[in-house]
Amino acid sequence: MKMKKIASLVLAGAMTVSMLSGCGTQDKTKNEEQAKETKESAEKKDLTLWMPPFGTEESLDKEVWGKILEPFEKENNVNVSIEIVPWSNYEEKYLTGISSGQGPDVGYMYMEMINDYIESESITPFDEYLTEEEKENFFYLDKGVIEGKQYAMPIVVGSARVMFYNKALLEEAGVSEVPENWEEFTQACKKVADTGKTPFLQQWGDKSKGAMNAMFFPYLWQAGGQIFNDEGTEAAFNSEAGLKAAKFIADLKLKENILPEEVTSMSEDQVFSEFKKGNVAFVVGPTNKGAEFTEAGVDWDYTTSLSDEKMGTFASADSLVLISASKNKDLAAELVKFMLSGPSMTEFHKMAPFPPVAKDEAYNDDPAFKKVYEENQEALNTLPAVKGSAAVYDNLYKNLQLMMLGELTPEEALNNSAEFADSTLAQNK
Amino acid sequence: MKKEKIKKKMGKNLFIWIRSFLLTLILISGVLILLTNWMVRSFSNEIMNLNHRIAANIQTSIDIRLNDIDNFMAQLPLNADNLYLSKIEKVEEVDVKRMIQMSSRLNDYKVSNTFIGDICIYYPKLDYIVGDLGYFPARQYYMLAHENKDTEYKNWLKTITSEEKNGYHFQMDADEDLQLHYTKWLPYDNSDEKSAILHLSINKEEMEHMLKNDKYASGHSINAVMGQQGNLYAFSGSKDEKTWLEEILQENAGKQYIEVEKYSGAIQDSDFYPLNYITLYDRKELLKNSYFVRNIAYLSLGICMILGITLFWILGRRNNRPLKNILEKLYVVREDREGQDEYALIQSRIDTMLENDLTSQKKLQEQRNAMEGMFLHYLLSSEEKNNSVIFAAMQRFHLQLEYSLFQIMVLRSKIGFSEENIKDVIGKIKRQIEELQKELYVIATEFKGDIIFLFHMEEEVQDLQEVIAKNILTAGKEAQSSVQLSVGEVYDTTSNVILSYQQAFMMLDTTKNTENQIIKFEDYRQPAVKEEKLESGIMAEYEMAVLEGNYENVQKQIDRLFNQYVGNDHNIFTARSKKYAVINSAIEALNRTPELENQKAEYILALQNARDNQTLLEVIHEIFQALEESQKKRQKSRKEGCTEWAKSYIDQHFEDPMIGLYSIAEMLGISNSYLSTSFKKQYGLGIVQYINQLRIEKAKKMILNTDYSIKEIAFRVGFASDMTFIRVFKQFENVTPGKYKKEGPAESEL
Repeated sequence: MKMKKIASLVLAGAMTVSMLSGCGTQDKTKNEEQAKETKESAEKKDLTLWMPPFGTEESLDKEVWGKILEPFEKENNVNVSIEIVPWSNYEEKYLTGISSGQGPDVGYMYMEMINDYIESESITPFDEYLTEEEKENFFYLDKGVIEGKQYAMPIVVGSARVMFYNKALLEEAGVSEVPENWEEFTQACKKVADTGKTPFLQQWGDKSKGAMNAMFFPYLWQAGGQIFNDEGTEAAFNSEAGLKAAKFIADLKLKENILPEEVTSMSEDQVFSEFKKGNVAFVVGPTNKGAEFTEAGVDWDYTTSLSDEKMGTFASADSLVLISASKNKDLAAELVKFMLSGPSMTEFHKMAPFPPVAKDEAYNDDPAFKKVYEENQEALNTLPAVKGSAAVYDNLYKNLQLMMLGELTPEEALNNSAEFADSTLAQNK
Repeated sequence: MKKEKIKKKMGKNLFIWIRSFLLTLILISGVLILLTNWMVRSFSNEIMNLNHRIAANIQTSIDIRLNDIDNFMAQLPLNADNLYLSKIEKVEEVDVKRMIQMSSRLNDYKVSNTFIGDICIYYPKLDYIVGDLGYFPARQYYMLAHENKDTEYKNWLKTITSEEKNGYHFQMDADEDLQLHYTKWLPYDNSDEKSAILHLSINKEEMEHMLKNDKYASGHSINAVMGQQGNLYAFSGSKDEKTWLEEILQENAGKQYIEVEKYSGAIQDSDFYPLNYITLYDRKELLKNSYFVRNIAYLSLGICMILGITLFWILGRRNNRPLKNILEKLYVVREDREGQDEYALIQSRIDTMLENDLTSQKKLQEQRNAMEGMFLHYLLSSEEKNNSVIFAAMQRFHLQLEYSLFQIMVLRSKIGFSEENIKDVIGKIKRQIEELQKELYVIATEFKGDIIFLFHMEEEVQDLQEVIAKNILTAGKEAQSSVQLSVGEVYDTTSNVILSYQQAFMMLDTTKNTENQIIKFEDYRQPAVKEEKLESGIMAEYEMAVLEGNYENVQKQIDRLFNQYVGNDHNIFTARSKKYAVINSAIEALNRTPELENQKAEYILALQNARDNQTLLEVIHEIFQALEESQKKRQKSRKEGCTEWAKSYIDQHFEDPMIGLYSIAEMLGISNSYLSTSFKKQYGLGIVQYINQLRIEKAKKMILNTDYSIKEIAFRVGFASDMTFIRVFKQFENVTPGKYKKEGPAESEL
């Protein structure tokens, strides 16, 4: 009797307990989750980082940066959301984002972009966040100083646009000497064309006006011209030198047939892809492409630039900027410093080989390019930081595209664009 | 039939067990299924609502952007640069600055609304397009906007200048991808001269980005925008899902809610535009928690069931063991195990046991009856008149006679009773008496061919005795055709039982023609005495009465004594000696009464001085009057304390086996019946009962606290035999002492 009673009690008890514990644990986990959530929202901060793509795929960039920033996130109890902004519409994205308050805490800008944001006070200088010791560590801090303030922290300096050539193709065409000036280049191209190969390709179909850094500005500089006047109030690209450069490019396609018909619809990727396939003798591109070409099995070499009046090509000075709208500027500044630190940069440069920006990182770029940065430094030009320049570049690019399409003469293209530029830059006076 | 077969195959109890188990299982599962269904259903409703809200949310955010575009378009015709450019007829006349301003205005606007892919205004008169890309001749602008190609230029121009395409419209692009465009003629009046056409394309990527980034979705939903012709425009899923979704939407055209595969969704119409917004939510993902809860419930139920079954099984096995043992034993007794149902077997065994018990009880009763009969037989044959001897005999025969009165009835048949007759009659009468449930007990035996009934009762009930007598006679008549029943007088001591018998016996011998009649001794006594008293017996009776101390009787007799015995004797000597005999008796009585010691001399003097019979009679009357009074006084005082005394005596001596109503009455010098009645009156129970109660209380303590055997305890608490003890114990406690020892006191006693 007693045993039965006890047994039934035990059974009933077990059922009740299991039911109760079912509800109980659920409530508990719910509560815990809520507590955790509130705790997190109270303590865990959010930072947004916008970066452009350097890897072959956007996802790779995100992955690499995610890995690099992992220790930072842990140490500071912060969640860094990384967004890779494609080069097409790059500026628009920033413009829209920052003006609508949906922008990042830390962004990546190239020189010609920065000025507009300084004007609108949308970015904050780094001066107060940097110690003297930290400043000592960086190579190119001066390139980020605008109007006397450290508005930008250079992250990708270099990436010079050099002229790559396929040694095999040149040899096949019988070009023994690497062309040094425009005339030699034209001749070399013709020789290559005779072999049935494409001598030279440019990405005139690319949507990004940055293509001009490889396609037009180097020749403008080689011809002795410059983009704007020194004050940044008027266009200077429509000068004699500018016209010479524009004509040279236009002639390569329209007159000499060195540039094939399809260049007006080619993107940068397509151009490099052709080079990797060994179909093109010459392309102009950033130094970090060298590794990709090697990987593709191209027997390549490069020359820093052709020379007309002088040598000249584009080198970037892209920087990280601190967005004024950031709610955690201290932490955002720390993020920038962390990104620029030796270990982070080492990782970054494994994906995108660029020369080091600070002393605490070893030279990781292809040693072949050491020459560019050491010997041909004078040939390297950055784009001037002129307010409103972005719109002008846009306009110039469109006109040059029309020129390449044969719709406009070089004079018309440059003058049209200059008209726009002068009108736009008039405000800088 | 089938059921019966199964039942037979697995055994009745297993069948019942499995059936109950299955029923419980079905019941619980049913409740559970209902509950979970209800839960899932209500969650589904919630999902519907959620879907609707999400769709509404998407609708709002997209509609707002599109509306924003509308607003801008409304302002645009009034833009000064636009008005200027609309009016100019020739390109050469155009002020480029105006174009620049217009272009940058459109570019600004494009930047401010991410939904805008491209925006431009076509000025037909100038064949110029001003847009976010700049200002170029129309064809050149088209090329710049379309990968430097002009192949589709003419079609495009046709489209945007077509009046049908005014407003939002969809169009397939070169990649077979549906694009949303907006075209508007400026100015908006109806003048034929349309001087400008605005065209913009919606940034589909941005719209899809928005659909993908819906914060409710978190990867478990598909959001989509559909043109009203049912073409899927933008959606958040992968390309593979596109065809699938298009098919679904075609199947569910016109519906507000959709249920497809794992998704449930809602379709929401745009308030202003020819668009539908669709959300599809992965039900499973949403219901994850509720499914989890449901699974937990199933799991706990399962565990509980397994536990329950295990426990059931274990308990069943455990509890079965004694039963199994019994069954094993039963099977040993009965070989026909095969097909035999265990329950029926046990039932039949229990029936048999009960029967046996009944028989043994009957036997016991018969034995008891026999013992009682033997006692009565002994009493009659020995003609014992000594109370103590009789009491000892009672003990010997395990008898306890607790009431105070006795009466004998004798049933006689001239032919004689057979053994069968005797058994029948005695049994019948005993049963009848038992059924009466009165304080009446009967002992019967055969004696010298007669059937003798000893009635033992607490008080005399004339009617009852009458009825019983008639019953005995009837029972007798049933046994033998010719019977006589003779009834002795009622006495209150066992010593007088024999007297009652002798009376009855004498009546049977002396009376005649009393076939089938009841002869009562008392009916014949009175006249017989009267006759005798008229003669010489009167003096003896007087002397006897004086000796007995029955002064009341004496006083009645004195007058007669003087008139008939003393006064009638004319012989002076015998008369004087008679007179002195009377006086001597009175003086002797005075001598026996110490209370009248003081008056004694006075009374003697009065007797001496009595000259004539009349005076003497008066003096004697006076003397007996005084004697009676003092006797009554004495009796009264003695009787008053007798019950208390009896009780305290019993309290001290109840363990003495010889103690009883008779021994105490004798000690007190009062009658059995008086003691019995007065004790009962004062304490609510008879003396014997009281003695038994004390004995049983003590016995209970001894049973619980000592290791004495039942027999030993019986003797120790004063029972003459263990049989009597067991009988009395059962009468008081409803259990036998042995059982009481095993199970302990009943709960009510704790």
